[in-house]
Amino acid sequence: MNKIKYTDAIIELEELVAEMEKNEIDVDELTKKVKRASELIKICKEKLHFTEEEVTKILKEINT
Amino acid sequence: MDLEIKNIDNKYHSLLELTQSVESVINKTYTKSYWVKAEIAKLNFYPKSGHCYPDLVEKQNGKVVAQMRAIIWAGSFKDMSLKFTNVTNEKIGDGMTVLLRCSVKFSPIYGLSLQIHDIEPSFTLGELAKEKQKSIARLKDEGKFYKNKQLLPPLLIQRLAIISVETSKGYQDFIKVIDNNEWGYKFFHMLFPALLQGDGAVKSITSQLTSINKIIHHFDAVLIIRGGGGDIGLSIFDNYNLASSVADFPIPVITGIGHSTNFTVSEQVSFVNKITPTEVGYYLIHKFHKLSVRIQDVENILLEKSNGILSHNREILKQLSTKLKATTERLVYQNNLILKDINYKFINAIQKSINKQNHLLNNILLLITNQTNKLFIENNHTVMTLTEKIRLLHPENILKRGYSITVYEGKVVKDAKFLNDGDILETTFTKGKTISIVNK
Repeated sequence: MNKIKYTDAIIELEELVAEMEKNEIDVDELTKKVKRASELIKICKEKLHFTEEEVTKILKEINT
Repeated sequence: MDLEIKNIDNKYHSLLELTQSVESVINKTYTKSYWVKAEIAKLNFYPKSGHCYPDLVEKQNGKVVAQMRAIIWAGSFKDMSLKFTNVTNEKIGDGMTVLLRCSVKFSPIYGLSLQIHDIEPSFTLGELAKEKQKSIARLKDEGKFYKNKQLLPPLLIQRLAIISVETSKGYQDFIKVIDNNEWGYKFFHMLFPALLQGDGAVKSITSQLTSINKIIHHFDAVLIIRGGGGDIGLSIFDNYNLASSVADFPIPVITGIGHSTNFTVSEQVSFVNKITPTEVGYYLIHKFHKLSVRIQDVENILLEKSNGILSHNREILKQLSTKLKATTERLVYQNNLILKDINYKFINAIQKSINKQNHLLNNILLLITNQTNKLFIENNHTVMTLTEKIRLLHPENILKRGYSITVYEGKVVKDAKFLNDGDILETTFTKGKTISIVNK
């Protein structure tokens, strides 16, 4: 799964939204930004429904 | 009082004599029961018999300055326990400061002890309250009281270290709530089992907090949850050491230890406190849901905004295109006019040029015709003159004028000297011929 943290992803998303709301984006950038936003949205949604922690791994860490 | 000396030598007493003497002194001196304030160092309850053999101590500045064994018979303990719990919501246990009605006993075999008959729970309640206030005051002094509350938690509280009892109803309820949430949000949770009430709970919980701290990067929050035990035995959460560990913990600690009034110090210092484990579960799911809704909003805003930007640009394009079309049409029209004009002028010029050339040609033609005619006429005249001349010179015309032509052997005779006697000549006249013979 993507390494970006949820908090960082959402901060970047909010920045994109703010930029959009100020209408500061031109059409050339728009495609790029929308693509990035879609990626971030996907990451955030995935994070809500997926976690990669494993109890056994953590237990090993405690005992080392 | 003096011990009566009974043996022969009058030099010593038997142990029994001595201990019996002590017993009688004590019995005579401590005839009533007394209210004594002491700390239960260890309760030493024997469930089988129901008796307790507590170690009572008094401490000053943390040091034991007095200590005594005590006994509570099963019957008394049962009554005392009930009364105590009704008032304090606590069970009589280790480390509690209590007010006890007791009598001093001495047995030659077991030595000195206190027999406890009764307990004054309101005293302990006061002591617990004092203890709680002391914990709060100390945490505030040390600047720890609001530390956990002021932590900046991650937006997503997803990975949970749970301090609880695996078999407890509270833990089971909590797991059910978060694992079966209707939106399918995924939590990671790991249980760190601990005693949550009674003796040893403080140590058990703080040592699990220490364990979690070692692997803190795996977790977003610690949950201390407990349920189904009623309100009994919560005073451990007022303990300074426990409350301090919670307040000072580097990630949010969320408590749900199951009661609704008079929050313990640990609950007060925790990041968030909920009454029950189930409520903790709903709190976490609600946080997830808020994030999910926000992402949905963001998605909609992005869609709306990018559509807005696109349609705005499309509008501009459309306007440009209309302008371009109009300008082009105008230019084409203008250039058409110019072209037509040039064309017209060109054709005129060519026409003029052709006309001029035509005229020139006509003149030449006329000149040629005239010249030819003249030539023709001149030549005609010459021919006619010549013809006349030729006609006049024709032999016939000469013969007509009386001349004749004499031929010798097919040749015209122009000189008589070349003729000899007897030559035969043929002479032609205008009308007819004659043959003659030369005679010189």
